[in-house]
Amino acid sequence: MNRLHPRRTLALLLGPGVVFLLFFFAAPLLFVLIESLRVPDTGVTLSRYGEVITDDQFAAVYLRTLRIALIVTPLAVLLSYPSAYLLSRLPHGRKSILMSLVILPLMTSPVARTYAWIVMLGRQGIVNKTIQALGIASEPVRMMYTEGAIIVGLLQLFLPIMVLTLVSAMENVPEEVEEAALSLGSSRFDAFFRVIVPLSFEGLIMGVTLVFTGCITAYVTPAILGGSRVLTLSTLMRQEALVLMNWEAATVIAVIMVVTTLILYNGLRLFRPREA
Amino acid sequence: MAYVELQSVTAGYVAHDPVLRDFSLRVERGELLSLLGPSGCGKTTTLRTIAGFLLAQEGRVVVNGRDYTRLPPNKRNIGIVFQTYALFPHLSVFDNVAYGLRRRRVSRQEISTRVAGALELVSLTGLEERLPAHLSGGQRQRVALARAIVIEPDLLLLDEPLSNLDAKLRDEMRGELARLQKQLGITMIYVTHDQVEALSLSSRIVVMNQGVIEQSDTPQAIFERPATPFVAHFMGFDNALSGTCREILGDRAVVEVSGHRFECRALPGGKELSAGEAVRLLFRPVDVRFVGADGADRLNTLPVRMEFSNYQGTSTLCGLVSGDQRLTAVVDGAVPPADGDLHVQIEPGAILLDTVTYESVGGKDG
Amino acid sequence: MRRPLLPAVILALVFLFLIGPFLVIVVSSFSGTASMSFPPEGFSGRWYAKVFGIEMFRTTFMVSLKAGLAATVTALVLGIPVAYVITRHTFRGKGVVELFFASPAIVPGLVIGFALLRFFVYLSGLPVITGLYLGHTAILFPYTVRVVSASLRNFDPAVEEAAVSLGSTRLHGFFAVVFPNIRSGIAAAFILAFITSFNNVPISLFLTGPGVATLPIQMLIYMEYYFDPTISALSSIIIVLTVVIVQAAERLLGITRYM
Repeated sequence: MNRLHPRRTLALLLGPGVVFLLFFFAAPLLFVLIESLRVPDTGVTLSRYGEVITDDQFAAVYLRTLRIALIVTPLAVLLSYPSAYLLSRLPHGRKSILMSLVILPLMTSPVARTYAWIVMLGRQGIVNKTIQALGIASEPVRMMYTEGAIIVGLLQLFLPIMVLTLVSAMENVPEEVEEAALSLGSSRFDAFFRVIVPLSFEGLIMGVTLVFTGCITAYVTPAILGGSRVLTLSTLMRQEALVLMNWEAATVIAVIMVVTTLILYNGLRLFRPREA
Repeated sequence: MAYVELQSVTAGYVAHDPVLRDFSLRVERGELLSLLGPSGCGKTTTLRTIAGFLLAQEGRVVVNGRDYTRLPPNKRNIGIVFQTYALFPHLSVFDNVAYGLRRRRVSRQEISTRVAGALELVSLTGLEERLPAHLSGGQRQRVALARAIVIEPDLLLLDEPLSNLDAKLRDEMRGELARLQKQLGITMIYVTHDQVEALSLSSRIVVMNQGVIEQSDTPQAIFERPATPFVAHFMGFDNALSGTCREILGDRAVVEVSGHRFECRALPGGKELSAGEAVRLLFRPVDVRFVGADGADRLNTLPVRMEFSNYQGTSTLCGLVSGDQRLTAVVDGAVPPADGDLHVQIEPGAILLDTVTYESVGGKDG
Repeated sequence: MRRPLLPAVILALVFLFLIGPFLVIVVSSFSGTASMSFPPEGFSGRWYAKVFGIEMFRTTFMVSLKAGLAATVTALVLGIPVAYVITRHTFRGKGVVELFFASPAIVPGLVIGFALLRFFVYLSGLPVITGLYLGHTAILFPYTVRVVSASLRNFDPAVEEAAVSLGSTRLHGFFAVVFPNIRSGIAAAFILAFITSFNNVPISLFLTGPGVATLPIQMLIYMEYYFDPTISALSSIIIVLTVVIVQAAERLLGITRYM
């Protein structure tokens, strides 16, 4: 088949896309990376990184961003595993309907989705009204512009990703394998942990990677639910770039963000089971 | 009470349209029972109901005197060999076989002895550390078998276990299964759609069709004396000649086919038959014999014309026409010359009588 | 066999959590007053009237629509040949090519937007809308390439070879035999890519300028100044449209398979 397509044809098919991305994706990123290392008169240096990293505010924001990701990811795993298990075992028609509902938060405009949480979590919102009616609190509790609000918003955004990844992993576990475990004496609960979980582990790692890195780079959710009071890496970067017009700092934060996600990406890959 | 009993069981996948309705089955201890039938006949539903993957909507499932009807599958102590083997892909051969023993909290030492024993039984010693992906089809089949028998189940269920193997391996495994059954004396229920498999393995065969038992008997009886047209068809009675019943002589019937006189056994199960009734003669292609022209006035013969013959090595398949009726014959070796008058003869004992009315009520083989 | 209860309860809660906020926002958009309390006081449709009355929403909607369509079509036209090569050929460096076309989805959008902003400043004179179009196109490649690849993988290459053996050129074979059979994959890619562009904030945040904004950016700007159910109404419209599109796409194309 390769012989039917000479190299020239391959180049012709790939060329336009490659050139486009080189120009309008790779080059700008490379440019920013170089700029972050270049200081006029001193040449190439890491001094800018030193300045940003030693800044107290940056350190606090960086840790907060990691903390949020560390809370959202396990919550997403806990809620997704049983949900994905049930969804993967449904007949095709019903599964399709439910899956198209699951992906709704992913497909809806992030502004509209996050705005819904303002209505939910505001002083007059449904959550405050409910806890006051139940007598849990007498005064409205401030929930907007907190880490908790960001966590809730990100969880809604990333649960679908975790569910989707796990459902497709579990669809590859034949029902008979589970039945074999039952026939050999496992309870359903036991079979779930001994058979379903190990066999969907690769999907789990995939989902964890997507959700964790997603939490670190998400912008709209922390921007609306955290505001300028509770900054994360991305909202901090936006503030430096567009409000304070400190492009040097923004550039450094951008590079740190990319490096962090790349480390996570490759670090989590080590947990992937080796090909049998 | 039999060792395994299904008593008036109703079961299926959708509540309003069960596959089995008021279905009863008895299996004696030590039996190797085959459930034989085409896909959709209810054999797998029966198996899944016994295994506990399907709950009977009505009726009872009893094994070894214990009521299993509501018991979850993991409490049943039934070994299952799945059609796809359903090995645990993430576990080694050893861990696959040890799985059921660990669930039963068997001591480490005993596990290693019993797993070793089971693997020896299926000739897999030495492959303990392999993952299923690194085994051949036949080896996977053996692991599945070892995994199911190592728990010393009260009952072993096999769901078309040989259907994913090639022809040669299938013969080999069949022999092995028979040996194991004899050696271990486990009660087995074996689901298959392959009559050769059922005939060669079973102590008893239950032929099923559309959720109903058509016949339950020894392999020999099923093969030689099918009780219904469905079983006959399934057992290779591919020829059907239409005729008219002329008289009944005790357990024999005389039938006229296109002016030729045929004698055969009367209807099975002592069913009534009267002279003048339209009937069909069912017989296997291998039971058709060519006789010389001088045999024309012998008993049970029919003049035929050869339409085609297909040489198949050890035998030859002949397409024959007699008047407006067609039949096929499978003969050993040479075929008589195609020109001139040909006559075929079918022994009375090889013919099965089928009333046309009976067929339209009971036969569902269409 | 009985289904266990606990997973079912968790699944129900997950659905409540995922879908509930959308229902709340739709209800609150019919509020009779400007306060954002829930349940809303009174009932009116005036916030919807207000949405359509605000000119900036109309113009930015058109910007989002045009930029989204242009970017989607470009990313499809350039992405389909890439998907074809990736699924039908083995060559050295194929893994690198695949990673390259997936990377705009891996690098944080905010970083891409910022890098493009700094880059385009050097290409001064580039109209804002052009920068927006180029940036959106770049981030849509991963979607078009991945989805079209998935549907090409499900289409037997032998069919195409049959066409060539019967006298088609490779190019004609593609349009006569392959294309009609991957149409639903291409449609799914189109919908996913367009929605991605239409919803995008991180790229647009940096690539919009005075007078040129996309609808999500305009909504964020509005929210900084006003706090009334107007955004609820606009969000409700967007949510309902999304539900309709996603349901139709799932029914007709099985879009969740491609995600």
